[in-house]
Amino acid sequence: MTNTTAESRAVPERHPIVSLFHVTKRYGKRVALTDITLHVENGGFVFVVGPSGAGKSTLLRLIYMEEFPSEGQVTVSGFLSSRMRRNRIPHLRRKVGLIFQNFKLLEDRNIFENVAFPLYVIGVNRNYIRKTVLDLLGRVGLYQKRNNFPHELSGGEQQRVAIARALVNSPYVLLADEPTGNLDPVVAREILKLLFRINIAGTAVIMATHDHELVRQYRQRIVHIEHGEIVQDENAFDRWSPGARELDEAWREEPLKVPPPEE
Amino acid sequence: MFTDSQVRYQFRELVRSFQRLKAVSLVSTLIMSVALTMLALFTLITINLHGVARSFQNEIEVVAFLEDGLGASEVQDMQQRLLAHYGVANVSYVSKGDALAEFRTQLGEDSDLLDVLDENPMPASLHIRMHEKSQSSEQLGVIAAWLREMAGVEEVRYGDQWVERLERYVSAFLVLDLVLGGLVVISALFVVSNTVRLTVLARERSIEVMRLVGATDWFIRTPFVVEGALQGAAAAGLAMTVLWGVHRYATRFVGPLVFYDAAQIAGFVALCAIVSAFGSLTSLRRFLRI
Repeated sequence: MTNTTAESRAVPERHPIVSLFHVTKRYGKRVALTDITLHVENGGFVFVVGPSGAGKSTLLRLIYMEEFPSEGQVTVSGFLSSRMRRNRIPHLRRKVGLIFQNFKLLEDRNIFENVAFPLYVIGVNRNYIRKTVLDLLGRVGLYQKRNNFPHELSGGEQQRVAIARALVNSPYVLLADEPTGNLDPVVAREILKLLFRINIAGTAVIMATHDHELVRQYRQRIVHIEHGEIVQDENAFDRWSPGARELDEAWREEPLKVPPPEE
Repeated sequence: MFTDSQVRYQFRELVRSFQRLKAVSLVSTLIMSVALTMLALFTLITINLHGVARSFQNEIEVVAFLEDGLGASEVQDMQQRLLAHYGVANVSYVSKGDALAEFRTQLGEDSDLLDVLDENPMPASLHIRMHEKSQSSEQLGVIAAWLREMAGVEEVRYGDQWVERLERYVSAFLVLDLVLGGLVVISALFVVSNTVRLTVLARERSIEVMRLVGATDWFIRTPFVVEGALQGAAAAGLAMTVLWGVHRYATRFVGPLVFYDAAQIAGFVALCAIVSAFGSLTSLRRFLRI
Protein backbone atom coordinates (compact mmCIF):
# COMPACT_ATOMS: atom_id res chain seq x y z
CA MET A 1 0.00 0.00 0.00
CA THR A 2 1.44 3.33 -1.02
CA ASN A 3 -0.70 5.74 0.95
CA THR A 4 0.63 5.97 4.46
CA THR A 5 -2.12 7.82 6.24
CA ALA A 6 -2.01 8.57 9.93
CA GLU A 7 -4.43 5.73 10.44
CA SER A 8 -2.35 3.07 8.74
CA ARG A 9 0.83 4.22 10.49
CA ALA A 10 -0.86 3.97 13.86
CA VAL A 11 -1.37 0.24 13.37
CA PRO A 12 1.63 -1.86 14.41
CA GLU A 13 3.04 -3.94 11.63
CA ARG A 14 2.39 -7.24 13.33
CA HIS A 15 -0.96 -7.05 15.01
CA PRO A 16 -3.24 -10.05 15.14
CA ILE A 17 -5.74 -10.14 12.33
CA VAL A 18 -7.53 -13.09 13.89
CA SER A 19 -7.61 -13.79 17.62
CA LEU A 20 -9.37 -16.42 19.63
CA PHE A 21 -9.35 -15.89 23.39
CA HIS A 22 -10.23 -18.92 25.47
CA VAL A 23 -12.87 -20.01 23.03
CA THR A 24 -15.10 -22.93 23.88
CA LYS A 25 -17.78 -24.10 21.50
CA ARG A 26 -20.50 -26.51 22.51
CA TYR A 27 -23.31 -28.01 20.48
CA GLY A 28 -25.75 -29.01 23.15
CA LYS A 29 -23.73 -31.38 25.30
CA ARG A 30 -21.07 -32.15 22.72
CA VAL A 31 -17.99 -29.99 23.08
CA ALA A 32 -16.43 -29.14 19.72
CA LEU A 33 -13.65 -26.82 20.93
CA THR A 34 -12.25 -26.36 24.41
CA ASP A 35 -10.47 -23.25 25.61
CA ILE A 36 -8.78 -22.35 22.35
CA THR A 37 -6.47 -19.35 22.41
CA LEU A 38 -4.89 -18.59 19.09
CA HIS A 39 -3.56 -15.47 17.44
CA VAL A 40 -2.82 -15.14 13.79
CA GLU A 41 -0.86 -12.07 12.86
CA ASN A 42 -1.63 -9.84 9.95
CA GLY A 43 -0.04 -11.43 6.92
CA GLY A 44 0.67 -14.64 8.79
CA PHE A 45 0.25 -18.19 7.58
CA VAL A 46 -1.10 -20.98 9.76
CA PHE A 47 -1.90 -24.59 9.02
CA VAL A 48 -4.51 -26.03 11.33
CA VAL A 49 -3.94 -29.76 11.31
CA GLY A 50 -5.87 -32.54 12.95
CA PRO A 51 -7.96 -35.63 12.26
CA SER A 52 -11.45 -35.17 10.90
CA GLY A 53 -13.89 -34.22 13.63
CA ALA A 54 -11.16 -32.56 15.68
CA GLY A 55 -12.82 -29.17 15.37
CA LYS A 56 -10.90 -27.57 12.50
CA SER A 57 -13.99 -26.60 10.56
CA THR A 58 -15.67 -25.29 13.68
CA LEU A 59 -12.62 -23.14 14.31
CA LEU A 60 -12.89 -21.62 10.85
CA ARG A 61 -16.65 -21.19 11.14
CA LEU A 62 -16.06 -19.24 14.35
CA ILE A 63 -13.67 -16.98 12.49
CA TYR A 64 -16.04 -16.18 9.66
CA MET A 65 -18.77 -15.96 12.27
CA GLU A 66 -21.10 -18.54 10.91
CA GLU A 67 -20.95 -19.79 14.49
CA PHE A 68 -20.40 -17.92 17.73
CA PRO A 69 -18.39 -19.15 20.69
CA SER A 70 -20.20 -20.54 23.72
CA GLU A 71 -17.45 -18.98 25.82
CA GLY A 72 -14.60 -16.65 25.00
CA GLN A 73 -14.10 -14.12 22.29
CA VAL A 74 -13.20 -14.16 18.62
CA THR A 75 -11.86 -11.02 16.98
CA VAL A 76 -11.30 -10.63 13.29
CA SER A 77 -9.84 -7.33 12.18
CA GLY A 78 -11.80 -5.33 14.71
CA PHE A 79 -14.98 -7.39 14.50
CA LEU A 80 -15.78 -8.83 17.92
CA SER A 81 -17.85 -11.97 18.16
CA SER A 82 -19.39 -10.84 21.45
CA ARG A 83 -20.63 -7.58 19.94
CA MET A 84 -21.44 -8.79 16.48
CA ARG A 85 -24.83 -7.85 15.14
CA ARG A 86 -26.51 -9.88 12.45
CA ASN A 87 -26.50 -7.05 9.97
CA ARG A 88 -22.75 -6.55 10.39
CA ILE A 89 -21.86 -10.10 9.39
CA PRO A 90 -21.92 -9.33 5.63
CA HIS A 91 -19.32 -6.63 6.23
CA LEU A 92 -17.05 -9.12 7.96
CA ARG A 93 -17.53 -11.63 5.14
CA ARG A 94 -16.36 -9.06 2.64
CA LYS A 95 -13.02 -8.94 4.43
CA VAL A 96 -12.62 -12.71 4.83
CA GLY A 97 -12.02 -14.92 1.81
CA LEU A 98 -13.34 -18.48 2.00
CA ILE A 99 -12.47 -21.62 0.10
CA PHE A 100 -13.77 -25.12 0.74
CA GLN A 101 -13.09 -28.73 -0.09
CA ASN A 102 -16.09 -28.86 -2.42
CA PHE A 103 -15.30 -25.48 -4.02
CA LYS A 104 -18.89 -24.18 -3.73
CA LEU A 105 -18.93 -22.80 -7.23
CA LEU A 106 -22.18 -21.89 -8.92
CA GLU A 107 -22.69 -24.50 -11.62
CA ASP A 108 -25.01 -22.40 -13.74
CA ARG A 109 -22.55 -19.57 -14.20
CA ASN A 110 -19.33 -19.38 -16.09
CA ILE A 111 -15.94 -18.85 -14.50
CA PHE A 112 -15.96 -15.09 -14.96
CA GLU A 113 -19.37 -14.77 -13.31
CA ASN A 114 -18.33 -17.04 -10.45
CA VAL A 115 -15.34 -14.90 -9.64
CA ALA A 116 -17.29 -11.69 -10.13
CA PHE A 117 -20.08 -12.91 -7.85
CA PRO A 118 -18.89 -11.25 -4.60
CA LEU A 119 -18.49 -7.97 -6.45
CA TYR A 120 -21.97 -8.17 -7.93
CA VAL A 121 -23.25 -8.76 -4.44
CA ILE A 122 -21.49 -5.70 -3.08
CA GLY A 123 -22.42 -3.71 -6.14
CA VAL A 124 -19.22 -2.16 -7.36
CA ASN A 125 -18.81 -0.48 -10.69
CA ARG A 126 -19.02 -2.83 -13.68
CA ASN A 127 -15.82 -1.69 -15.31
CA TYR A 128 -13.99 -2.29 -12.05
CA ILE A 129 -15.52 -5.77 -11.83
CA ARG A 130 -14.41 -6.62 -15.34
CA LYS A 131 -10.90 -5.34 -14.81
CA THR A 132 -10.40 -6.95 -11.40
CA VAL A 133 -11.84 -10.32 -12.32
CA LEU A 134 -9.91 -10.68 -15.57
CA ASP A 135 -6.73 -9.61 -13.82
CA LEU A 136 -7.26 -12.15 -11.06
CA LEU A 137 -8.13 -14.94 -13.50
CA GLY A 138 -4.90 -14.16 -15.29
CA ARG A 139 -2.92 -14.46 -12.08
CA VAL A 140 -4.41 -17.84 -11.15
CA GLY A 141 -3.86 -18.99 -14.74
CA LEU A 142 -7.47 -19.34 -15.83
CA TYR A 143 -7.88 -16.38 -18.14
CA GLN A 144 -8.42 -18.70 -21.12
CA LYS A 145 -11.21 -20.53 -19.31
CA ARG A 146 -13.16 -17.47 -18.29
CA ASN A 147 -16.16 -18.42 -20.44
CA ASN A 148 -16.21 -22.08 -19.43
CA PHE A 149 -18.54 -23.52 -16.85
CA PRO A 150 -17.31 -25.15 -13.63
CA HIS A 151 -18.17 -28.71 -14.73
CA GLU A 152 -15.86 -28.28 -17.73
CA LEU A 153 -12.88 -27.71 -15.43
CA SER A 154 -10.66 -30.12 -13.47
CA GLY A 155 -10.79 -30.14 -9.67
CA GLY A 156 -7.59 -28.14 -9.37
CA GLU A 157 -8.87 -25.55 -11.81
CA GLN A 158 -12.16 -25.31 -9.94
CA GLN A 159 -10.31 -24.69 -6.69
CA ARG A 160 -8.32 -21.96 -8.40
CA VAL A 161 -11.58 -20.36 -9.48
CA ALA A 162 -12.74 -20.54 -5.87
CA ILE A 163 -9.49 -18.94 -4.72
CA ALA A 164 -9.88 -16.14 -7.24
CA ARG A 165 -13.41 -15.59 -5.99
CA ALA A 166 -12.17 -15.48 -2.39
CA LEU A 167 -9.56 -12.88 -3.27
CA VAL A 168 -11.68 -10.62 -5.39
CA ASN A 169 -12.70 -8.53 -2.38
CA SER A 170 -9.09 -8.04 -1.24
CA PRO A 171 -9.65 -9.81 2.08
CA TYR A 172 -7.43 -9.42 5.14
CA VAL A 173 -7.45 -13.14 5.66
CA LEU A 174 -8.12 -16.20 3.56
CA LEU A 175 -9.71 -19.17 5.30
CA ALA A 176 -9.25 -22.50 3.56
CA ASP A 177 -11.19 -25.50 4.85
CA GLU A 178 -9.54 -28.67 3.47
CA PRO A 179 -8.88 -26.97 0.14
CA THR A 180 -6.89 -29.94 -1.11
CA GLY A 181 -9.22 -32.63 0.19
CA ASN A 182 -10.62 -33.50 -3.23
CA LEU A 183 -7.37 -33.13 -5.16
CA ASP A 184 -4.53 -35.48 -5.96
CA PRO A 185 -1.14 -34.69 -4.34
CA VAL A 186 0.41 -32.99 -7.35
CA VAL A 187 -2.54 -30.65 -7.77
CA ALA A 188 -2.70 -30.17 -4.00
CA ARG A 189 0.83 -28.84 -4.03
CA GLU A 190 -0.04 -26.42 -6.78
CA ILE A 191 -2.90 -25.11 -4.72
CA LEU A 192 -0.61 -24.78 -1.72
CA LYS A 193 1.89 -22.85 -3.77
CA LEU A 194 -0.89 -20.55 -4.84
CA LEU A 195 -1.79 -19.99 -1.18
CA PHE A 196 1.83 -19.16 -0.38
CA ARG A 197 1.91 -16.67 -3.20
CA ILE A 198 -1.19 -15.06 -1.84
CA ASN A 199 0.37 -14.97 1.62
CA ILE A 200 3.57 -13.40 0.37
CA ALA A 201 1.48 -10.65 -1.19
CA GLY A 202 0.24 -9.81 2.28
CA THR A 203 -2.95 -11.74 2.90
CA ALA A 204 -3.07 -13.84 6.04
CA VAL A 205 -3.98 -17.47 5.36
CA ILE A 206 -5.45 -20.01 7.71
CA MET A 207 -5.69 -23.43 6.16
CA ALA A 208 -7.32 -26.38 7.85
CA THR A 209 -6.28 -29.85 6.70
CA HIS A 210 -6.10 -33.39 7.99
CA ASP A 211 -3.06 -34.03 5.79
CA HIS A 212 -0.05 -33.49 8.03
CA GLU A 213 2.23 -35.18 5.50
CA LEU A 214 1.39 -32.51 2.96
CA VAL A 215 2.22 -29.57 5.16
CA ARG A 216 5.00 -30.76 7.48
CA GLN A 217 7.70 -30.10 4.88
CA TYR A 218 6.98 -26.40 4.92
CA ARG A 219 8.28 -24.06 7.56
CA GLN A 220 4.95 -22.43 8.21
CA ARG A 221 3.37 -22.45 11.59
CA ILE A 222 1.32 -25.60 12.22
CA VAL A 223 -1.34 -25.71 14.92
CA HIS A 224 -2.39 -29.22 15.83
CA ILE A 225 -5.91 -29.75 17.06
CA GLU A 226 -7.20 -32.96 18.59
CA HIS A 227 -10.52 -33.46 20.30
CA GLY A 228 -11.18 -29.75 20.21
CA GLU A 229 -7.94 -28.73 21.88
CA ILE A 230 -4.68 -27.28 20.64
CA VAL A 231 -2.11 -29.96 21.38
CA GLN A 232 0.88 -28.47 19.62
CA ASP A 233 1.86 -25.19 18.01
CA GLU A 234 4.85 -25.81 15.71
CA ASN A 235 7.08 -23.07 14.35
CA ALA A 236 5.18 -20.45 16.27
CA PHE A 237 8.47 -19.02 17.61
CA ASP A 238 9.01 -15.45 16.60
CA ARG A 239 5.82 -14.88 14.68
CA TRP A 240 3.59 -14.12 17.60
CA SER A 241 4.83 -13.44 21.05
CA PRO A 242 4.91 -9.75 22.02
CA GLY A 243 1.65 -8.76 23.58
CA ALA A 244 0.21 -12.23 23.60
CA ARG A 245 0.98 -12.82 27.28
CA GLU A 246 -0.49 -9.48 28.28
CA LEU A 247 -3.66 -10.18 26.34
CA ASP A 248 -3.83 -13.58 27.91
CA GLU A 249 -3.51 -12.17 31.43
CA ALA A 250 -6.03 -9.44 30.76
CA TRP A 251 -8.52 -12.05 29.74
CA ARG A 252 -8.28 -13.74 33.15
CA GLU A 253 -8.99 -10.58 35.09
CA GLU A 254 -12.36 -9.07 35.84
CA PRO A 255 -13.94 -8.19 32.51
CA LEU A 256 -14.18 -4.46 31.85
CA LYS A 257 -17.61 -4.25 30.34
CA VAL A 258 -18.33 -1.61 27.73
CA PRO A 259 -21.78 -0.31 26.96
CA PRO A 260 -23.54 -2.13 24.13
CA PRO A 261 -23.32 -0.44 20.73
CA GLU A 262 -25.97 2.03 19.70
CA GLU A 263 -28.73 0.41 17.70
CA MET B 1 -30.49 1.29 -1.24
CA PHE B 2 -28.73 -0.72 -3.96
CA THR B 3 -26.17 0.53 -6.41
CA ASP B 4 -26.70 0.54 -10.13
CA SER B 5 -24.79 -2.66 -10.73
CA GLN B 6 -26.58 -4.41 -7.88
CA VAL B 7 -29.93 -3.55 -9.40
CA ARG B 8 -28.76 -4.79 -12.76
CA TYR B 9 -27.55 -7.97 -11.14
CA GLN B 10 -30.83 -8.48 -9.29
CA PHE B 11 -32.71 -8.08 -12.54
CA ARG B 12 -30.58 -10.74 -14.23
CA GLU B 13 -31.16 -13.05 -11.27
CA LEU B 14 -34.89 -12.53 -11.60
CA VAL B 15 -34.88 -13.48 -15.28
CA ARG B 16 -32.62 -16.44 -14.56
CA SER B 17 -34.87 -17.67 -11.79
CA PHE B 18 -37.94 -17.32 -13.95
CA GLN B 19 -36.32 -19.19 -16.83
CA ARG B 20 -35.44 -22.04 -14.55
CA LEU B 21 -38.84 -22.34 -12.91
CA LYS B 22 -41.01 -21.22 -15.79
CA ALA B 23 -43.62 -23.94 -15.35
CA VAL B 24 -43.90 -23.53 -11.60
CA SER B 25 -44.13 -19.75 -11.82
CA LEU B 26 -46.77 -19.89 -14.55
CA VAL B 27 -48.89 -22.50 -12.81
CA SER B 28 -48.82 -20.70 -9.49
CA THR B 29 -49.68 -17.41 -11.19
CA LEU B 30 -52.59 -19.13 -12.93
CA ILE B 31 -53.91 -20.66 -9.71
CA MET B 32 -53.66 -17.31 -8.03
CA SER B 33 -55.46 -15.57 -10.86
CA VAL B 34 -58.31 -18.11 -10.76
CA ALA B 35 -58.78 -17.39 -7.07
CA LEU B 36 -58.61 -13.66 -7.69
CA THR B 37 -61.08 -13.90 -10.56
CA MET B 38 -63.58 -15.52 -8.22
CA LEU B 39 -63.09 -12.82 -5.67
CA ALA B 40 -63.36 -9.99 -8.19
CA LEU B 41 -66.41 -11.61 -9.77
CA PHE B 42 -68.29 -11.81 -6.51
CA THR B 43 -67.36 -8.29 -5.62
CA LEU B 44 -68.54 -7.11 -9.02
CA ILE B 45 -71.86 -8.90 -8.58
CA THR B 46 -72.25 -7.20 -5.23
CA ILE B 47 -71.49 -3.81 -6.71
CA ASN B 48 -74.05 -4.31 -9.46
CA LEU B 49 -76.67 -5.60 -7.05
CA HIS B 50 -76.07 -2.61 -4.88
CA GLY B 51 -76.49 -0.38 -7.91
CA VAL B 52 -79.81 -2.01 -8.75
CA ALA B 53 -81.03 -1.55 -5.20
CA ARG B 54 -79.92 2.05 -5.38
CA SER B 55 -81.79 2.75 -8.58
CA PHE B 56 -84.99 1.32 -7.16
CA GLN B 57 -84.59 3.32 -4.02
CA ASN B 58 -84.33 6.45 -6.11
CA GLU B 59 -87.88 5.91 -7.24
CA ILE B 60 -89.11 5.33 -3.77
CA GLU B 61 -91.05 7.98 -1.99
CA VAL B 62 -93.26 8.07 1.03
CA VAL B 63 -96.81 9.03 0.19
CA ALA B 64 -99.07 10.40 2.89
CA PHE B 65 -102.74 10.55 1.96
CA LEU B 66 -104.45 13.42 3.69
CA GLU B 67 -107.90 13.68 5.22
CA ASP B 68 -110.37 15.71 3.29
CA GLY B 69 -111.02 19.28 4.27
CA LEU B 70 -107.58 20.38 5.36
CA GLY B 71 -106.91 24.03 4.85
CA ALA B 72 -104.04 25.31 2.72
CA SER B 73 -102.24 26.70 5.77
CA GLU B 74 -102.43 23.34 7.54
CA VAL B 75 -100.99 21.61 4.50
CA GLN B 76 -98.24 24.19 4.29
CA ASP B 77 -97.51 23.71 7.97
CA MET B 78 -97.19 19.95 7.48
CA GLN B 79 -94.86 20.51 4.53
CA GLN B 80 -92.65 22.74 6.66
CA ARG B 81 -92.48 20.22 9.47
CA LEU B 82 -91.65 17.41 7.05
CA LEU B 83 -88.89 19.42 5.42
CA ALA B 84 -87.41 20.03 8.83
CA HIS B 85 -87.22 16.30 9.43
CA TYR B 86 -83.85 14.66 9.05
CA GLY B 87 -83.21 13.18 5.63
CA VAL B 88 -86.16 14.66 3.80
CA ALA B 89 -85.15 16.16 0.46
CA ASN B 90 -88.41 17.59 -0.79
CA VAL B 91 -92.13 17.42 -0.25
CA SER B 92 -94.62 17.94 -3.02
CA TYR B 93 -98.34 18.47 -2.57
CA VAL B 94 -100.83 16.82 -4.85
CA SER B 95 -104.30 18.28 -4.39
CA LYS B 96 -107.54 16.35 -4.80
CA GLY B 97 -108.02 17.95 -8.19
CA ASP B 98 -104.49 17.08 -9.36
CA ALA B 99 -104.96 13.52 -8.23
CA LEU B 100 -108.23 13.21 -10.11
CA ALA B 101 -106.70 14.70 -13.25
CA GLU B 102 -103.83 12.24 -13.03
CA PHE B 103 -106.21 9.38 -12.52
CA ARG B 104 -108.17 10.53 -15.54
CA THR B 105 -105.11 10.47 -17.78
CA GLN B 106 -104.27 7.04 -16.43
CA LEU B 107 -107.72 5.76 -17.31
CA GLY B 108 -107.49 7.25 -20.77
CA GLU B 109 -110.56 6.38 -22.78
CA ASP B 110 -112.33 5.01 -19.80
CA SER B 111 -112.10 8.32 -18.02
CA ASP B 112 -115.80 8.89 -18.75
CA LEU B 113 -116.48 6.53 -15.89
CA LEU B 114 -115.39 9.22 -13.48
CA ASP B 115 -118.11 11.51 -14.67
CA VAL B 116 -120.60 9.28 -12.92
CA LEU B 117 -119.23 10.36 -9.57
CA ASP B 118 -120.73 13.42 -8.06
CA GLU B 119 -117.79 14.17 -5.87
CA ASN B 120 -113.99 13.77 -6.16
CA PRO B 121 -113.03 10.44 -4.49
CA MET B 122 -109.31 11.03 -4.69
CA PRO B 123 -107.54 12.14 -1.53
CA ALA B 124 -104.98 14.92 -1.52
CA SER B 125 -101.48 13.69 -0.77
CA LEU B 126 -97.96 14.69 0.16
CA HIS B 127 -95.09 13.01 -1.73
CA ILE B 128 -91.93 12.92 0.31
CA ARG B 129 -88.55 12.25 -1.31
CA MET B 130 -85.55 11.45 0.80
CA HIS B 131 -81.95 12.52 0.47
CA GLU B 132 -79.86 9.91 -1.22
CA LYS B 133 -78.05 8.99 1.96
CA SER B 134 -81.24 8.40 3.89
CA GLN B 135 -82.91 6.15 1.39
CA SER B 136 -82.62 2.97 3.38
CA SER B 137 -85.87 1.19 4.08
CA GLU B 138 -85.21 1.76 7.73
CA GLN B 139 -85.25 5.52 7.29
CA LEU B 140 -88.36 5.35 5.17
CA GLY B 141 -90.01 3.34 7.94
CA VAL B 142 -89.14 6.00 10.51
CA ILE B 143 -90.64 8.76 8.39
CA ALA B 144 -93.72 6.66 7.67
CA ALA B 145 -94.30 5.95 11.36
CA TRP B 146 -93.86 9.59 12.20
CA LEU B 147 -96.34 10.62 9.50
CA ARG B 148 -98.95 8.16 10.74
CA GLU B 149 -98.96 9.93 14.07
CA MET B 150 -99.51 13.29 12.42
CA ALA B 151 -102.94 14.87 12.60
CA GLY B 152 -104.68 15.09 9.24
CA VAL B 153 -102.92 12.08 7.78
CA GLU B 154 -105.19 9.27 6.80
CA GLU B 155 -102.84 6.71 5.39
CA VAL B 156 -99.14 6.29 4.64
CA ARG B 157 -97.56 4.14 1.97
CA TYR B 158 -93.92 3.61 1.18
CA GLY B 159 -91.52 1.35 -0.67
CA ASP B 160 -92.40 -2.27 -0.21
CA GLN B 161 -90.77 -5.13 1.60
CA TRP B 162 -88.79 -6.22 -1.42
CA VAL B 163 -86.49 -3.24 -1.17
CA GLU B 164 -85.58 -4.45 2.24
CA ARG B 165 -85.00 -7.93 0.88
CA LEU B 166 -82.77 -6.60 -1.86
CA GLU B 167 -80.71 -4.79 0.67
CA ARG B 168 -80.36 -7.92 2.70
CA TYR B 169 -79.04 -9.70 -0.39
CA VAL B 170 -76.53 -6.97 -0.90
CA SER B 171 -75.22 -7.24 2.65
CA ALA B 172 -75.22 -11.04 2.44
CA PHE B 173 -73.09 -10.76 -0.66
CA LEU B 174 -70.81 -8.37 1.14
CA VAL B 175 -70.22 -10.94 3.87
CA LEU B 176 -69.62 -13.55 1.21
CA ASP B 177 -67.10 -11.25 -0.43
CA LEU B 178 -65.25 -10.80 2.82
CA VAL B 179 -65.13 -14.54 3.53
CA LEU B 180 -64.10 -15.27 -0.01
CA GLY B 181 -61.54 -12.50 0.13
CA GLY B 182 -60.00 -14.04 3.24
CA LEU B 183 -59.90 -17.48 1.64
CA VAL B 184 -58.37 -16.09 -1.52
CA VAL B 185 -55.68 -14.26 0.40
CA ILE B 186 -54.82 -17.37 2.37
CA SER B 187 -54.73 -19.64 -0.66
CA ALA B 188 -52.72 -17.09 -2.61
CA LEU B 189 -50.21 -16.99 0.23
CA PHE B 190 -49.99 -20.79 0.17
CA VAL B 191 -49.37 -20.81 -3.54
CA VAL B 192 -46.75 -18.09 -3.25
CA SER B 193 -45.13 -19.86 -0.33
CA ASN B 194 -44.86 -23.07 -2.33
CA THR B 195 -43.33 -21.28 -5.27
CA VAL B 196 -40.85 -19.61 -2.97
CA ARG B 197 -39.93 -22.98 -1.49
CA LEU B 198 -39.17 -24.36 -4.94
CA THR B 199 -37.24 -21.24 -5.88
CA VAL B 200 -35.26 -21.43 -2.68
CA LEU B 201 -34.43 -25.08 -3.33
CA ALA B 202 -33.32 -24.25 -6.85
CA ARG B 203 -31.18 -21.39 -5.61
CA GLU B 204 -29.93 -22.91 -2.37
CA ARG B 205 -26.35 -23.00 -3.55
CA SER B 206 -26.26 -19.45 -4.78
CA ILE B 207 -27.94 -18.22 -1.60
CA GLU B 208 -25.34 -20.04 0.50
CA VAL B 209 -22.52 -18.55 -1.55
CA MET B 210 -24.12 -15.11 -1.40
CA ARG B 211 -24.10 -15.27 2.37
CA LEU B 212 -20.52 -16.47 2.44
CA VAL B 213 -19.30 -13.62 0.26
CA GLY B 214 -21.07 -10.93 2.21
CA ALA B 215 -24.47 -10.31 0.66
CA THR B 216 -26.83 -8.50 2.98
CA ASP B 217 -30.10 -10.17 3.90
CA TRP B 218 -32.02 -7.65 1.86
CA PHE B 219 -29.88 -8.28 -1.17
CA ILE B 220 -30.76 -11.96 -0.96
CA ARG B 221 -34.43 -11.33 -0.30
CA THR B 222 -35.07 -8.70 -2.94
CA PRO B 223 -35.40 -10.98 -5.99
CA PHE B 224 -37.88 -13.14 -4.10
CA VAL B 225 -39.93 -10.18 -3.02
CA VAL B 226 -39.92 -8.68 -6.50
CA GLU B 227 -40.84 -12.03 -7.99
CA GLY B 228 -43.73 -12.32 -5.57
CA ALA B 229 -44.94 -8.84 -6.38
CA LEU B 230 -44.74 -9.44 -10.11
CA GLN B 231 -46.59 -12.72 -9.75
CA GLY B 232 -49.33 -11.10 -7.71
CA ALA B 233 -49.68 -8.24 -10.17
CA ALA B 234 -49.72 -10.60 -13.14
CA ALA B 235 -52.36 -12.80 -11.49
CA ALA B 236 -54.49 -9.77 -10.67
CA GLY B 237 -54.11 -8.41 -14.19
CA LEU B 238 -55.11 -11.72 -15.67
CA ALA B 239 -58.10 -11.96 -13.33
CA MET B 240 -59.23 -8.50 -14.38
CA THR B 241 -58.87 -9.36 -18.07
CA VAL B 242 -60.91 -12.53 -17.70
CA LEU B 243 -63.53 -10.73 -15.69
CA TRP B 244 -63.77 -7.97 -18.25
CA GLY B 245 -64.53 -10.60 -20.89
CA VAL B 246 -67.22 -12.07 -18.65
CA HIS B 247 -68.59 -8.61 -18.07
CA ARG B 248 -68.78 -7.85 -21.80
CA TYR B 249 -70.53 -11.15 -22.39
CA ALA B 250 -73.01 -10.69 -19.56
CA THR B 251 -73.84 -7.15 -20.65
CA ARG B 252 -75.26 -8.51 -23.88
CA PHE B 253 -77.92 -10.40 -21.98
CA VAL B 254 -78.61 -8.45 -18.83
CA GLY B 255 -78.13 -4.93 -20.08
CA PRO B 256 -75.64 -2.34 -18.85
CA LEU B 257 -73.61 -3.50 -15.86
CA VAL B 258 -71.04 -1.64 -13.85
CA PHE B 259 -67.37 -2.60 -14.17
CA TYR B 260 -64.47 -1.53 -11.97
CA ASP B 261 -63.07 1.87 -12.83
CA ALA B 262 -59.41 2.44 -13.61
CA ALA B 263 -58.51 3.44 -10.04
CA GLN B 264 -60.15 0.33 -8.62
CA ILE B 265 -58.34 -1.92 -11.09
CA ALA B 266 -55.04 -0.26 -10.28
CA GLY B 267 -55.73 -0.60 -6.56
CA PHE B 268 -56.65 -4.25 -6.94
CA VAL B 269 -53.49 -5.04 -8.87
CA ALA B 270 -51.35 -3.10 -6.40
CA LEU B 271 -52.95 -4.79 -3.42
CA CYS B 272 -52.44 -8.25 -4.90
CA ALA B 273 -48.80 -7.39 -5.64
CA ILE B 274 -48.25 -6.26 -2.07
CA VAL B 275 -49.93 -9.28 -0.51
CA SER B 276 -48.01 -11.62 -2.76
CA ALA B 277 -44.69 -9.89 -2.07
CA PHE B 278 -45.40 -10.07 1.64
CA GLY B 279 -46.24 -13.78 1.36
CA SER B 280 -43.02 -14.32 -0.50
CA LEU B 281 -41.04 -12.55 2.19
CA THR B 282 -42.60 -14.41 5.12
CA SER B 283 -42.19 -17.81 3.53
CA LEU B 284 -38.62 -16.96 2.65
CA ARG B 285 -38.01 -16.28 6.32
CA ARG B 286 -39.51 -19.65 7.12
CA PHE B 287 -37.32 -21.59 4.71
CA LEU B 288 -34.12 -19.65 5.09
CA ARG B 289 -34.26 -18.01 8.48
CA ILE B 290 -33.21 -14.74 6.91
